[in-house]
Amino acid sequence: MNKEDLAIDLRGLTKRFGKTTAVDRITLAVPRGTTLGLLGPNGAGKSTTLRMLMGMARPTAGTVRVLGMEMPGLAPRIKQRVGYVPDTCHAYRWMSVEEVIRFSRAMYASWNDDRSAELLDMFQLPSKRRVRGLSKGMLAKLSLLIALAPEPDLLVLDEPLSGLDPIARDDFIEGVLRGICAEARTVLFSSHQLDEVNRLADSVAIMNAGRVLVHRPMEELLRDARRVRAVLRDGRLPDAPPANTIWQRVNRREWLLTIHPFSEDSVEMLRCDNPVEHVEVSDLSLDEVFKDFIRGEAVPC
Amino acid sequence: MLTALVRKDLRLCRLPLIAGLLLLLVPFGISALIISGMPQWQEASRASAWAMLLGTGSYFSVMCSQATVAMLSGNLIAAERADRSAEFLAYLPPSRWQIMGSKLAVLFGCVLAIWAVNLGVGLWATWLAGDAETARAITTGLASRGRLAAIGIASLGGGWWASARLETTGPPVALAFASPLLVLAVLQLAQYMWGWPAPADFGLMYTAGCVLFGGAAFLAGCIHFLRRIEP
Repeated sequence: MNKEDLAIDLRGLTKRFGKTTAVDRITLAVPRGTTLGLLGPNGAGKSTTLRMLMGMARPTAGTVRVLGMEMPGLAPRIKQRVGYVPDTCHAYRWMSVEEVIRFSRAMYASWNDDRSAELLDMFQLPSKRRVRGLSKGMLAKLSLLIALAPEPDLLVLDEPLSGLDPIARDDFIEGVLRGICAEARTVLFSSHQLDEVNRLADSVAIMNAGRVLVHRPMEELLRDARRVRAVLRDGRLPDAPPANTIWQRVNRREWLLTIHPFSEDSVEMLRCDNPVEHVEVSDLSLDEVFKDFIRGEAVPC
Repeated sequence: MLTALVRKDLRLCRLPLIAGLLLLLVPFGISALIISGMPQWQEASRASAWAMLLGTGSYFSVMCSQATVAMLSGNLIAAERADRSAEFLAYLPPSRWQIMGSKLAVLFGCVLAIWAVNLGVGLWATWLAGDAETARAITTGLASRGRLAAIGIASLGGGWWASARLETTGPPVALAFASPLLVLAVLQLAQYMWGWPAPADFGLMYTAGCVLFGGAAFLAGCIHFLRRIEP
């Protein structure tokens, strides 16, 4: 893919804090106009990656290109075209909602007043109330308003709905995010809410311990991952799991495996190389794929 | 954009600015209280009494306003890090140059206001003084403000540098207050160890030391703030 067709292009991105490696040689390309869900458990390095993407942390190694421009060198120009929602909104606590909006409006050339008013109305934010008096959910909504009102080409959301209750989250996904993701703009959002990712993302990247374990279009990921349940012969243990096994567990005679990418050859190999009596293959949900990738990392096959 | 940033910085430093306003004006009141109890006040003509009051008050006010410069320079950058609002600003589009420009506008605007008020009042006092002796005393007072300005530069530089590096406001403000004393201590140590500078040159060297230290620290703070990627 041409570099100019990519909204986000991370190459060998690494971030170390002393001896700890938070992000480890990530390479990730997000085409323009797509929605990528970045999944990972706590401490996977999602937020650090997004901070480097936004030019708020200096990479130890690697390069970041956003909308075809190098970060952090061209950060001010890029930020005019990028909306960012952090995991916690740190807007000036002494400002009222109205003042935060007015302040943010002065920073963007492309601020859309109608969109801002529409979102203010939709979120039912009290415009006179000070930021220090807002609940976590209201802060999340204010962050989203500031990110969306300039109508950015790229929207980066770091666990945007973590502060919202289930009803507000559903309303928001259906009322706002689904519409944005359907538009021509690029959206990258991190989450550990698999339901959100399933509903919104075109493609998924699963991160763990600072590395991207897999990055595939959602349909392809779910199509290519299979759960294999094999019944072992009495008193026997498995010899060798087939290639591409990402996770496995043996419980008495039952041997469960998750294979990605799966092919019919995997079953043949399993039958040939192991003492199995019976094999069943089933589909997996995103939730299961995610968990198996993470568990498989903890106990390599 | 810059107007919004300046307005935000003025609000951010509201407390040091209010304190600064008090430190600018209260010394005139205190001077009035002290001078009105002195025998010269009773004997002086109305114009020279006012000249005495304003001249003393403005000198005292400049001295007190060093604290304003220290508080402001120590607060301007670090205060945003302390409450993490710097993170909010970091993902908005303004560049580091614009953010720093707004902070410098507030800082130098305040310094300019302090000196404009005090020099203005000092000159007015000289003009009011009827007799040559009072006028000479006030003019000498005005001339000696060069050293106060140098102390202010040391304070400003030290505070600004620490503010650009640290994430709380206490240490930068403390360093701003301590900077002129630090320069003094270094010079005294040099004098004790190597007999330099000579006692006759000490005052001049101290002024030069304050200006050099303040200027270098200010520059180092600016470079650090501009180069730093993290909010």
